[in-house]
Amino acid sequence: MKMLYSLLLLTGLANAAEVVFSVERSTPLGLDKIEIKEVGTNFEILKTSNYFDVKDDLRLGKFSATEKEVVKTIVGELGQISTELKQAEERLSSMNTSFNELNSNKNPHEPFFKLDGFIIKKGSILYPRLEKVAFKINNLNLSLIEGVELDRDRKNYTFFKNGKEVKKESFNARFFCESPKFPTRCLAREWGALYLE
Amino acid sequence: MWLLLLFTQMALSFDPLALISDDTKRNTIEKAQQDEINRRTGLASSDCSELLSDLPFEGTSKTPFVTAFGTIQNMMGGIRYWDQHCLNQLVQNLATLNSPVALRIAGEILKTDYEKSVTRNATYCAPPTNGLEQILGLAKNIDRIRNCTPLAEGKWKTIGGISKSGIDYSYGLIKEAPQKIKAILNVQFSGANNGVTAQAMHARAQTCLNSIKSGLKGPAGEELSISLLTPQEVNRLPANLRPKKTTITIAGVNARSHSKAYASSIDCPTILHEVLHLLGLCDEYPGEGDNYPCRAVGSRESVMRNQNLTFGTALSENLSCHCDSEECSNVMADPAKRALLLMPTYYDIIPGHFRNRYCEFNPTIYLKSFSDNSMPSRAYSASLESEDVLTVIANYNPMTTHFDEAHIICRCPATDIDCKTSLKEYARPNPNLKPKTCPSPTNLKSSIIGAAPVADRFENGVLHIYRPATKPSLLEPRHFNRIIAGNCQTQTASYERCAEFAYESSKVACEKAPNECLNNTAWGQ
Repeated sequence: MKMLYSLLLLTGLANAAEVVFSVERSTPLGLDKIEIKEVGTNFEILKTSNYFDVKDDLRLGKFSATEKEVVKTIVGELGQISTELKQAEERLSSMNTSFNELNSNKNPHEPFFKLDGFIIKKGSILYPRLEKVAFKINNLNLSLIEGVELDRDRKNYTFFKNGKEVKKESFNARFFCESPKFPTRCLAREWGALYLE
Repeated sequence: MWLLLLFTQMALSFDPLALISDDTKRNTIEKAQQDEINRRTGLASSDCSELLSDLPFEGTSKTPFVTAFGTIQNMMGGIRYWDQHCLNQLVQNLATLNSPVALRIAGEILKTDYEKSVTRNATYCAPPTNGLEQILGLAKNIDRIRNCTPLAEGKWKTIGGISKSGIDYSYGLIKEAPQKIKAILNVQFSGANNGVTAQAMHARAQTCLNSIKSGLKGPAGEELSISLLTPQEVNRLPANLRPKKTTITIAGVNARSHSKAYASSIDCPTILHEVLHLLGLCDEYPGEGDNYPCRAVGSRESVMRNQNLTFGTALSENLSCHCDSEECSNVMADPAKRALLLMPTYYDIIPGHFRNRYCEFNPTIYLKSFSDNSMPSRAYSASLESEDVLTVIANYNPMTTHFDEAHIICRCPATDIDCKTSLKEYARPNPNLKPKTCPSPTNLKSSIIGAAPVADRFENGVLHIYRPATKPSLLEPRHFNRIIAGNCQTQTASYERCAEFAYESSKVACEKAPNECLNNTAWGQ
């Protein structure tokens, strides 16, 4: 019965807590990341790279999602997985270890998921479920709140604040990119990097 | 009681084999699963996706490895010797299932790990007290003796384990000559993407490693070469000399976000960086942004921090640059314009990350005419306006009548000492610096790394540029020493002292990091 109570308690806690979920890849060139975070009653999405994109998008920065209901479903699924992770953590702590401690650094630049502080790497039974969630996040319609957009003809970076354009800067590939020829990786000021083909 | 029954049912429901009531059928499946686990044990693989892949079930169907509780328990004798990373992954997955049986198996596996570590410690720590114990002690320490004895010429050994940073490594070392050492890896490339097949990627990686042989040197000038053998080639070696297999897949466009694989467009500097991970080296780029706050940072030119910069400084290179247009040929035919091509300009001197963070590019690129006698004497001229402001005028891209003039200004925040130090360096760049790539409007035809020095020249329509190395090796002495020391703990201790914290996120663990690792003085930032 005690176990049942603690299960219910954990579920309740997970629902009350604000979810932070990201997909990340760490490389010597920088951190590629998409993060979704509950901020009060809203959800904020932060993109530092287009590395994980499934659709063509040349915007980086902080976004809001227009499809609130879809986001709620995503956050609900993440809350459920987060609960399972916390329960796993409890079981592992009774054996003097922890979920993150059992992760391997075999492939240091391999993409991984991070959910409420837990690092979920390829090989975890939770990974395929998180892949599906990440795919849904990638397909959300996002509205740029603060950040940068490279225009289609790759002539200018446009910077945004509070959803409004505040500055333009000429995009010079020689200046911003690792190589003057595409495909290459181009830095976008403080907002991260775009992989351009 | 009902609750207990409910939990028992929940536990059993994870193992689909337990739900089969037909004994014969269940035994057949269990036998097939055991045979498969025996086969995997025989592979001596460290590839968790192979070891922990789904197990046979009814007909052609499969069942997730982690749910085969009965089979795992029965085969524990072999499984306990599998790669530690894979066992950890199995424990993690067992604990994720809400099942007391799974938890019990996880406990058994963890106990196995504990027993292994106790045995290992006993081997190194137990002091012998009498003659017989000394002999026994010697026998117990045979591994340590083997690991720490310098490799004799013509001899070789295999090295494998998990570094303190958690990186799994398995390779062979052969001493080919007094100053020549070869490292052997067992690598299987798989998949294909953008027309790059596994075979093509293997060839690209090996060609890369062959081309940089001259740059892989130890502190005393020792030469290191790296050979990527296929599993088939490794299988021809004696069983006790085979490094474990590493599978590297080639990332697909749609799958790239989920792949640990090499991108189909991977370049040689990145190949070397990745291969060095397989030889036990950890990352050395700043870890704050990645939530690794206590990672020791290597020098700016360390291959584990910035492999592109390392290649640019540690390898001499002969670039052959050619023209695709008549305009370009006209430029090449003019000695004054050719001279401009051979001078490094802003993108050769100021690194991209610095430009992005501190510099602004005047959007107007001035087209300067050669006809008004304004032939520039330099492709890059910089002036330090104050200790925190640098202005740069860059002249490049010469054409028949015009060239480009770009204006750049870099500003450092008042408190950013590193930025100001760099500004001074960019104000007076090394006079021997050469262009990093073929200058516009020419295009790269070929590049020979490590070739003998030749004079820059224009010959048969091709511009040859020689870029000398300014750094003695692609490897820092600690990298070379770590690779050669392999499993000898006494010799790897100084490297592992900082490496241990390379992927550490927790504050508690970071508090244990030595000061020289935390303040980045250990590895020469």
